[in-house]
Amino acid sequence: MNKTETLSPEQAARLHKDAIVIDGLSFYYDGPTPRLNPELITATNVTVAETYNDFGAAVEEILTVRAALARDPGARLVERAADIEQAKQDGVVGIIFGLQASLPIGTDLSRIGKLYDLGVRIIQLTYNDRTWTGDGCLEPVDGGLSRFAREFIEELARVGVALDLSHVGRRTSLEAIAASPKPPMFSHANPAALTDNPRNLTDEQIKAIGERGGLIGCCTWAPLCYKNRAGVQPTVDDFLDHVDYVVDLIGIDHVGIATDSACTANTAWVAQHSLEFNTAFPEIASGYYAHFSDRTGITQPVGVEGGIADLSPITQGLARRGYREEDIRKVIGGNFLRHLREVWGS
Amino acid sequence: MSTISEEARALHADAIVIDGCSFFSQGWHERLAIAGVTALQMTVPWPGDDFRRAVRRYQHYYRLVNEDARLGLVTSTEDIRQFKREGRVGFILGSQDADILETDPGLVEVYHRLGVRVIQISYNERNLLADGCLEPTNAGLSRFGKAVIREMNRVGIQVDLSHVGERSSLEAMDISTKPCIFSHSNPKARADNPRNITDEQIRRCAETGGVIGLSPWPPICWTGGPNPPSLDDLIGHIEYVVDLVGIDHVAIGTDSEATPGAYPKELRTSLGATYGPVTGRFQETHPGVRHTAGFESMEGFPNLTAALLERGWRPEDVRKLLGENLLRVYRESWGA
Repeated sequence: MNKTETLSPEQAARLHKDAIVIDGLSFYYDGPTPRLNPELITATNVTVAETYNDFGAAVEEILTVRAALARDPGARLVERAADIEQAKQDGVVGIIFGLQASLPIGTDLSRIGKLYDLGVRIIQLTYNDRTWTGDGCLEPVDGGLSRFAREFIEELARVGVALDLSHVGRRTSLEAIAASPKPPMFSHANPAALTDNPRNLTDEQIKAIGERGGLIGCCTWAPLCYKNRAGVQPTVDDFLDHVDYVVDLIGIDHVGIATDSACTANTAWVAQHSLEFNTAFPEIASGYYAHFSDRTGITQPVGVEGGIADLSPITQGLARRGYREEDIRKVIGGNFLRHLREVWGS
Repeated sequence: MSTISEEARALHADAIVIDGCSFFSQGWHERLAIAGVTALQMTVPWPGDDFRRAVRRYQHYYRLVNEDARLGLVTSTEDIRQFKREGRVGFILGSQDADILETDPGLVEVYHRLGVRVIQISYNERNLLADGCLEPTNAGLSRFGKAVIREMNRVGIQVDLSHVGERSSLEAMDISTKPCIFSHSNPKARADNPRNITDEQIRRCAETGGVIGLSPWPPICWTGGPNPPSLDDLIGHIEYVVDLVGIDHVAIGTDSEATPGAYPKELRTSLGATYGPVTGRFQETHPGVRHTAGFESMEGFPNLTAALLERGWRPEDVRKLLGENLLRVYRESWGA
């Protein structure tokens, strides 16, 4: 990488406002919110249903999100890659509908097309536990892809839904990368070499997704980038070390960013959600929270405390580290846009 | 089949006879009397059923027993003995899949309160608990699967491991604190089929105190040769398991209809699509063969009793095979 022409903070600020910025994972969008500022964020993959929902409950939640979107002049549904570029031009934020679980699909593949019709464009193969398709990252067994999963992945590719392998067990994810007709992604995960966590990725997984032409959204959620320093809130530089690591391993074209933060400004909801998650899955979060009395509050690194509300410190940090302008554009959104265009087919 | 001796007829009539795996009853049928069964473990939900669909299918069986005094619902082993004394036939409510639990181990107790006493933890393919026997991955139990087995042990539902992948079944037997059963499976050593089970599975099952229900269903009873399966093949499977783990660990699961013709066509068609690895080679070798000669349906039960006596089996051992072993295991698993 050419690191000779370091951008000034002013240049980096202008670049961030000009660039397409995509957050690879956020959740709880409930209508107009000051946290989605089109000058700072262009589009985001929003989880539109709880991970434990069955099909009926997921459809109801998606319809609720669609209704919220209809009364928000500042946001718009993304159904194809061009919609993201158009959103940037029009000064609104693009909302990509994603699911972090295949539970709503159950064992009925026709539901993938039905969810597509409702706007869903990204589906994660499993959450932390086992489903009919494969094992989640907390399953001690990690049995690999089921027979059904192979049909499931074919159907995603046929319909034009991006395959997300975050939260998936390591063996299951490697088999999915090999089986998928289109490149998959890890929308929000980090190298386990820097932060050891069942949610993070081995070098083998990172290399496999790079070789397949896929994408990793490096994640600012503190338990995934705190470098296992219990009770210490990481900084934006700790996070950027994870970006550097992936870039060094598989190159600049396969890295994006993701916050795993809430779109809503409803802090009570977010605190409750965090508490429920951290109670349900201590294997993921308890190491980080070990020395914090409050298991709900500090979820993002120093410097990007607001998560999706302001990602410009990441652009600033990349500039400080000597990333060239075109490479910064790739990391903060360009790679996600290219990847989604490729797997969606438009 | 040769005629049935008076001795065999009397023994069969007096014994408790349990079919460890049956399905699709539409009410009383003379088949039940011909078979001489005291109780049948009935597969009620269809594969993939969720909670609501499963509950609606169980209701059907409440109606059958409510409308006909010759039938009854079994919720304890004492019920089975009682039905024997009264000359009635008992239905044991079961399931051959665990999708009916959706994602909630708490539903195990709900099903127990509905009268369900046997649940098989997976069916050929992977589900949220375990791999089925057709999954090449042969994965072990999931976290949910372990939670469900603990809950089945606690509330008193029999763990059934037929159709389950080998590794998942071994792990289930490791963690279950109650006896496990294979309600309808044969030894792989004699009949090489993905549905059948290894010597290790048979030994582990016996170590839990459980039973293996040997089955006349042709594709898994067939020993692979030019001859279609026969009662002698079934007896060979039984005696193989007896030699391996003893007389206390064998039973019969006929895997046959409780009412002839009641198996819904649409279900047969949809299941058939995934059944190639189980039935393919058998059907190619023996096209058109639908029955095991001498044990064509559960009506073949008395023939089995007669043949075993002719082979010199002791009457008390025949009784164990026909029902007493399953009764012992159910009692331990159900706690009643």
